[in-house]
This record gives sequence, structure tokens and C-alpha cells, in this order.
Amino acid sequence: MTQQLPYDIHPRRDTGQYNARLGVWLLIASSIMLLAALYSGYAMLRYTSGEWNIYQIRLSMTLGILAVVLQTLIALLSPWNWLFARQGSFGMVWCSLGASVIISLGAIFTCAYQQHVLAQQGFTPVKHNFYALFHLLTGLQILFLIIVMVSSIVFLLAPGNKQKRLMNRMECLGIFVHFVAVSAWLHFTLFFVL
Amino acid sequence: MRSAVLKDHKVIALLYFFTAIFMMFLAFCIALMMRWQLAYPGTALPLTSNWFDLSHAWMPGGVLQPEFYNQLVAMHGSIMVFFAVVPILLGGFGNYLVPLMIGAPNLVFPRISFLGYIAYVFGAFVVLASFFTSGGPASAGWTSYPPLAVLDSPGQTFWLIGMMLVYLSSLAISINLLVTIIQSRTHGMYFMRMPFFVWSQGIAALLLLLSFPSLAAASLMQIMDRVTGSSFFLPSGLVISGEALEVSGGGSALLWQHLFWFLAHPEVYVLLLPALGIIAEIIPNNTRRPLWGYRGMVYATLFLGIMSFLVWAHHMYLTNMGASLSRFFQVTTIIISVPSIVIASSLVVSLWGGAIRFTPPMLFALAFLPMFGIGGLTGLPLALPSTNIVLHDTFYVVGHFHYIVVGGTVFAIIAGTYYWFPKITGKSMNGLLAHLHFWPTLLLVNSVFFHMLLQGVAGVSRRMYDGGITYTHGQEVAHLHTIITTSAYLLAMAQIPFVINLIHSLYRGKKVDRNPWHGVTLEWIAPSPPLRNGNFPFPVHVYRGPSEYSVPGAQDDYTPQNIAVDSTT
Repeated sequence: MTQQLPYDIHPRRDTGQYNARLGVWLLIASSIMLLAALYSGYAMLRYTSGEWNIYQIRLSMTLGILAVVLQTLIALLSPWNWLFARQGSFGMVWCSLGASVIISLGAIFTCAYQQHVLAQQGFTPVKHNFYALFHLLTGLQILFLIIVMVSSIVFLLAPGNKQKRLMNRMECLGIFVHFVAVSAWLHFTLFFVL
Repeated sequence: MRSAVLKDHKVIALLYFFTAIFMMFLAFCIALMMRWQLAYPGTALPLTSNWFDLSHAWMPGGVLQPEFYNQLVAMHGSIMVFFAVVPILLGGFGNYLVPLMIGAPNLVFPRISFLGYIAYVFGAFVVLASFFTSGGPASAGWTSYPPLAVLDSPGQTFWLIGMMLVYLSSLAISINLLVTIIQSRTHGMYFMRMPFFVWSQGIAALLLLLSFPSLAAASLMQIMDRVTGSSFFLPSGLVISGEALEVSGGGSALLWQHLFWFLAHPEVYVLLLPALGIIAEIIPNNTRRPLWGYRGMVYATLFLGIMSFLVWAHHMYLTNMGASLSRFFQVTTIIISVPSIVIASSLVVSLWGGAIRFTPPMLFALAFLPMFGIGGLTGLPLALPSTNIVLHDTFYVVGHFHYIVVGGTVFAIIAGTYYWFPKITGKSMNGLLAHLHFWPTLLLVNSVFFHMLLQGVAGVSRRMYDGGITYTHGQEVAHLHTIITTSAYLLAMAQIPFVINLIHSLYRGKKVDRNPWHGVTLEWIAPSPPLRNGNFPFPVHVYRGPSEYSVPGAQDDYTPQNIAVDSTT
């Protein structure tokens, strides 16, 4: 007798979760620890470094703000994805997810361009740990965005549009996208503001 | 059809198990090479003088060169911890048994689990491939401390990439196990009815989930240092061979140590907790008594899991971290010994008054208890900065750690293999061969590691390529190297009956029914081997706790969890 996986779509009564949502929260917990480790490095290196703020002037504030705005936009779009899925408007889900993919691509390009501009001016990781950290954490931000973009594309092309399953997918994507947006704000605060 | 097989938790678990056993075999061979060098420095390793080209560079005429010795030390530790023991315990035992024990048909994300296995294999492949790079594999120890690691041969970059891949694999394992435990418990399987093995796997998975990112982050930073020339771990003013190193500097070598040990200490409990889980299943089954203090053990394990995040810097007393910080980590380390003792004591008390069956798994489980005791108690002097500073660089630490990991964890892995082999294959193992395996193994493990403790107390450094023959301080105990090495080689030979037993039993073993040990947890009500799709041929309901042996008034001395309370008699 083949048994189906329980709580694949509908939440379990005592935990209030379906499998994927709990999985995404655990993935985020691990990602938070990853960022926490890197930010601990940031704190320790900054504390022991004589100069730090003078390196900020080499960063492009315009590109920094644009990257944050784009990543926030993706997060703002995510509830709409879920709402359209809930209403059964699959065409609108498709449009909304498509917009997420395009904006993600824009954010990836902005982050990569930030790094490119810095590197062209000679501010590579060799120059100072400030730039090394900036390049590393921006690279990680790009990785998060790639995960968002690839997930969106997979969900766009995934066979079967069963409404409940689609709603779950949109919700999980939305949870992760919000984490990415929060990390973008942190990234901006640490490198452009503080 | 093939993809359906690869989505079965049992297949994925066996893939993990056999790959990790292969890696363990490699790491054991590496240990034997190191031991030969320590006992007979400058002497050719037997049978190796005509090896392929590799040996000419690193082992001319079969004699181990100092650089290669360092590389072997690094690879032995790395492979054993990251590619052998943890994958066997969580990827092998965890993936196979957790769904069965909670009455689930599969892991919740089987595809992700298989992708995790692929990441693990790639990681192992990358690390082993570093043997064939110019300069050879990483040589900065399994801890990869900078600045040495940053300036090491290209093999170190392979090591770092391997760690990143193991992180992905650990993520897949831990998320799968945790979500499966929380979500897929069958009807009536409340948390406090879960077998202790499941608790131990869940908490180990949580530790892995939250601690491994720290090493992943550190590895990313070290890759940056090595590839892009940054200085995260390189301080200013570093001088190598009389010349100033041309880097921007400003980094901190201690940052690596903090990030590394934030993973590596919880990792010790990832090695230990599932082992305790295995033993906690075998002991009640073979004493025919309930596990003593089940709830206390669960709470102690939870507390131990939390505390394991607060003790990491006791590995760093030598870094002159300051009296206040040392005191903090000393106190937390002593505190963490309390739940460990609660768990060990519960296991020992569980033996009291039982009708003990000396089956092969029980022999190893019984041996586990004193081995774990010695390993734990020898750790106490290392918790205190004053004694740690004296003992830290000696063989005492090697002896202590190996008592925990070999006498403890590996004994539990062997015990678990004997215990669940009939479930996995539907065949029983040979008892005589098991005894031939157990007694020499117990004797020789102690012969290897107890002598290391003696050498350590005498002050012999654990970092010497020649075993300390030029080291006046430890001459009186230098001869113990020969005993240790001989015992290690005999220990390898003592595993031959085990291998024969496994292969022979697989093909010629006596067929068994679904519950040969008369166990009570849910895996024993599944067919042997369990069904490929869904494990159980009928819906499973749970009505009772996980170790109901010798229930008063019951017909048999075991009452499986799916037997309703009113049908006991």
C-alpha cells in the first residue's frame, strides 16, 4: 500500500503548519545564522580596524538605494502573488511572478554593477577589509536574489496549477523574499549608513 | 521507477551509510599511516615503497615526509568528522529510522534529501581530489587555523569548497529530519511518545542547522582570503620566513577560531547525541525494562543542545582571551557536563534489575557506557583553563576525544548496525563472528587510546612528526607509541569478522520475521525490510510510550506502541 506524504498541502492541526512552510522557516533560521556569522566578522574587523567610515565615500549611494528599493519591491509583490493565487487568477499570478523575476534580475544587475564600479576604481578586496566585506556580502545578496529568481521561474513553469498548492508555493516564496529584503536593508545600513 | 527508488528515505539512507563507511575506511587507513610514522619514524611503511607516483614525492621509498604527515593529520580529522561519522549518524541512521519510528511513510522532502546526498558526494570528491593537486591536500589540521591555512597549498581551497558542499548536505539532512519529526508523526505519536532516538536525532539536526552556517561563513571568508587576496584572517605586519607578507592586513586569526568552534563544539554533540539515541534503544530492548528517566533524558538533551552553543571558546583558552571570558566558558563547560551525566546515569540505571540479554548489539551498547564515561571524565580537566593550558597540546586531548568518538560514537554505530541489520535486510547476523569482533575491538580500542592519555599526562606533544624521539621531556613514555601503533593495526584486523559477518549475513543469513528482537518501537511492526513505498502495509496508530517492556499484566514482555491500552492483556 502506497502512503501519501501527510501535510504536504494542508496544515497539520496541532502545529498549524504544512511541510513546506516549516521547511522555509528552518531554511531562513539557518540563513540568519549564516548572516549572523558574517556580521560578527564585520563587527570584529570593524572594532579592530583604525579607520572604517572613510571607505564608505567610494560606494555609490544611488546604486545602494536602488538595490534596496528593488529588493523591497519584490517583497511588496509577494502578497499579491498569494492573493491572486487565492482568487484563482492564474493569469495574474503569472504576471505578478513574471514581474518578480524581472525585478530580481534588475536587483542582481544593480548589485553586480556596484561591485563592478568599485573594482574598476581599484577598490577590490585586496585594498581593505571594508571592501572585502562589501564584495562578500553583496555577492551573498546576489546569491539570495538568484534563489528567488530561479524559484519564481520554476513556479511559473511548474506543471499543475492546483490552487491550494500554488497558494502554498507563493506563501513560501513570499516568506523567503521578505527575509531577502530585510537582509538588503541590513546590508545597506551597515555599509552606507553606520 | 528509478527516480521513485531515489525518493525513498531508506535508499537515500543506505547511500549515505555506504559512502560514509567508505570514507571512514579511508580515514582509518590514513590514521594507520600516521601511527606507523609515530612509532617507527623514518622507516618505510610496509608494502608502500613501490606505490604510484604520489609516493615518490611524499613518501620516497615508503618513508612519510613531514609535509605529507601534516596533510594526513588534517585529512584524517576532516574526513572522519565531516564525511564519515556525521553522515552515518544523521544521513544513514537518521534518514532510515526516523520516518519508521514515527510511523511516517517517507521523509517530507525526499528529493531535497537526495540532492543533499549529491552535495555530500561532491564534497567528498572535491576533498579527496585535493590529493592530486600540486602541493597536495590541506595541511593546516582539521581546524584549518589561519594564517597557516590561508597561506597553505591549493588543496586548502578544495577543503574549503568541500566544507561548503557539506554545509548544503547538512542543511538538507537537518531540515528534512526536523520537518519530518514535527509534521509526519502518525496518529497518537505525541512528542513524549517518541523514541529517545528520534529526540536525539531531532536535537542533533537542530544543532547542525544552526551551527554549520558559522563554518560556511568562515569558509567563504577564507576562500576570499585565498582567492581574492583579502585579509579577513591575516593580521597586519605578518612576517613569513623573514619577509613581510604583502597583504592589506587588519584581519584577525582569532575570528576564524571563534567561527570555527561555534560550529565544531555543537558538532561534537551532533556526533554524540544520535549515538546516545542508538544506545537508548538497545539497552531497554535487551534488559526487557523500560528506559529509566525517559523524560529527564529528553529535557537533559534539550538543555545540552542549548548549552552546546555557549561553550565553544573552551577550545581557545590558549589564545589569551582574558580571565573573565575564560571563567565564563569554564563555568558553561562544567554546566554542560550535568545533562551529559543525567543521560549517562539514566542509561546505567536502566540496566538495574533487568534480565540482560548479551546480544551483539547489547555487548557494544554495554561497552559504550564505560567508554563514554572515560571520554567524558577525561574532558573535565580540559574544561578548566589552568589544567587545559598544560594538557592542550598533548596526546591527552587526542585520547580524550577518541574515547568519545571511537569508544562512544563508533561503538554505537556498530551496535546500531547489529541491532537494525535484521530490519534492513530481513536477515540475522552471525553471533559467533560478532563475539570475535567485539572482544578484540574493546580491548584494542582501550589499548590505543588509554596509552595516549598516559603519554599526554607525561607531556608528549600531539603535534610531532617524529613521535617525540628528539623530545627529552617524554622519553619515558615514547615506547608507548609502539604499543599504540601495534594495537591500531590489530584493531583494523579485528574488524575483519565484522566485514565477513555483514557480507555473509546479507547473502546467507537466517531469515527473520518483522520483530526478531521483540522490540516495541514502530519500526519493528513494519515488514523486514520495510515496504519500498510507505514503509507500513497498514495505517499505524500509537497508543503508548516508546519503551513498554515487561508491562505488568501483559501477555508478553514487550508491548509495541501500536497495541491499544485495553488490549494489553
